[in-house]
Amino acid sequence: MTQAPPSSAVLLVEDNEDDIFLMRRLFRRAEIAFPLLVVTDGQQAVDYLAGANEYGDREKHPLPAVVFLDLKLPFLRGFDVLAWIRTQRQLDALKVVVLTSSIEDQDRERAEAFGVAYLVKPPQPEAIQAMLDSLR
Amino acid sequence: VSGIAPAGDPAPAPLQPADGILIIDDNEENRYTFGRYLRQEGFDVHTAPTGAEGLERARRAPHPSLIMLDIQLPDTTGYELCRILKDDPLTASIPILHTSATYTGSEDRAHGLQGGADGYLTQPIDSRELVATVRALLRVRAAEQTARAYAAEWKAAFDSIRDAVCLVSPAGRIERFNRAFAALFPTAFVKPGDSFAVLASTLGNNLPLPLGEAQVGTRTEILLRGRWHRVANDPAVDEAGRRSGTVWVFSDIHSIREAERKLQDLNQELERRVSERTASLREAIHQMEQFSYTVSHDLRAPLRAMQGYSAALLEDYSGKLDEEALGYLRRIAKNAERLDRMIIDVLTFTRVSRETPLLAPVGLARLLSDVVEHYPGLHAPRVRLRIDVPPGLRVLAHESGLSQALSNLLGNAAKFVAPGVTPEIAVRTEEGDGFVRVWVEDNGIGVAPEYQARLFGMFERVLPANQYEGNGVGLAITRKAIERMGGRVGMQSDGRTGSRFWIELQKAAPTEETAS
Repeated sequence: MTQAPPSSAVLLVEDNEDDIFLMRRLFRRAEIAFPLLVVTDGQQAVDYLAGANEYGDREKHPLPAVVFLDLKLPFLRGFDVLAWIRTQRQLDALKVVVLTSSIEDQDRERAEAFGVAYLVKPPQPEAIQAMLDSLR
Repeated sequence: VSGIAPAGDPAPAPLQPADGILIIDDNEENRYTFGRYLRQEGFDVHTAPTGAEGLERARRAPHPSLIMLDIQLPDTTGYELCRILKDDPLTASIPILHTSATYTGSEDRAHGLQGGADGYLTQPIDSRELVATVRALLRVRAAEQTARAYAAEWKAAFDSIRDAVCLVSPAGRIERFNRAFAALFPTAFVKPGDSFAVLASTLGNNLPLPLGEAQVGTRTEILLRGRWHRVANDPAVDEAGRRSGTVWVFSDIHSIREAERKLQDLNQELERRVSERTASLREAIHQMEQFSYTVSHDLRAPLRAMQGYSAALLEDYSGKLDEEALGYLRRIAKNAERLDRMIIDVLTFTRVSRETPLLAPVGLARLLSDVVEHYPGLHAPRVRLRIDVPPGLRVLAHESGLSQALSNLLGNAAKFVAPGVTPEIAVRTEEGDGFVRVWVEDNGIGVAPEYQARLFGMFERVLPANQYEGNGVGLAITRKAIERMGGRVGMQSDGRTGSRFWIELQKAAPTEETAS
């Protein structure tokens, strides 16, 4: 496992334990060096990205380069988080990828309107790798 | 008093029933002679020698049709008796023919006729003149009776009309009216000559009547004593087409208004129910959408976990499991995959069902080549595919829906073949009056006619699952998608020599480069 710079962290916003486990496994097997950070609801995601509350320490909770964002989340939903991110100037460089089980056109179209990538679960290692490669 | 001229020609056939002639004359010879002539002509003759006897006979039914009345009678004069007869309603309509001696002058004649007599003969009386005069008087009487009968008939008919009808002169005076019109004014005695406007002012209607000349020809609805009436006032014209007044008709339309009001109430009730149903349908659709969204997200999540963990097991522990355990694992993975496919197909079906597609011209040749390009299962050498579609031919369709429908048909054509047979698929088009039919023909296993009706239903499979993949949703989606575009689908097969599926859609204008 190679050392990645703190700015290369990946934040997964996901409430489903199985999806979290399978994503961690995907990272492990694909030998993706980026640290995978996880929050499990929309409010946590906003707090994390804002560095609020327990996420104030950027040493322990580095600002990620990529967010994999589930849409159906407790409290703030995926699109609420996305809308909030768009209001934050310091997050302009943040890459957001919607990772959802929804095959509804309305969700895909809404994500496209936000100008973010859209992946349907289950995530394929190649697709994840391609997303991360595009950061370099 | 005597002197009768010789008789005339033989008479025509007697009238039926015979007219009765009463001869009142004190001269027996006259009675006999006149009587004989008239009897010869077929008349039924009665005689009376005195005024009193004659009057008594005239008043008895059946009344005579005509009375020959001598001017000079022993007990009275013919003039006096004539007046009595004409004053009595029983006998007033009987024509009276005065007869008198030669010496009576024209003054007597005039006196007689002014007194109400209808004819005057002076002796000597020629038999032909007598008969002709009697006949002439009877004709006049018959004409009068006919006219009276007509008038009575019209009056009866006029009075039978339930609508109140009234003819008003140009000066605004009532000329004629029927019984129903009189009944509109229970407290007034309506008579010809009354002012219509004055009478109308007593009606107590809620709205003014259109009395002005400029309002002739209008229709008004008014409330009279609690009932709605429709009032029509139309110009009356005479035979020469000249304006002769105004006809007013008052029709009681209360029950019609009541029925209309009830109908209106019913319509409102119906509308209310429809909007209620619509609301509950909208609610149901909304719930359905929520449900499919939930299915899409929540039901697929555990399935994905099953797929993920079984894949993880296969990848991470294949060395520790024997072949049987691995087989079970693969079955779990495969079934999870099938269930996922089914859920996706059902979601697609419900989406296609609820969406109203926006139709636009779609080029068939281009769309078909796109479909084939994205579908490796249709490429050579796996499949022999021939597409024979005129370039530029376009249909009115929703592109992604039509693409899905054609993919389904082509995919089925490639899939349902007997083992070892290379699928041969031909796509061709047939142009009808305003529509295009796309045929997809294959050399597959076909569908026996008895199963064809089920083919386009949801979850219908007409083949054993262990031989051919599929969940029976594809053709249901195809049909729904095409029907939502206003098209039709169908198929033909004898169950042995392949299938011929077709899609029919509205034709769109061709593209310009091929319009030549």
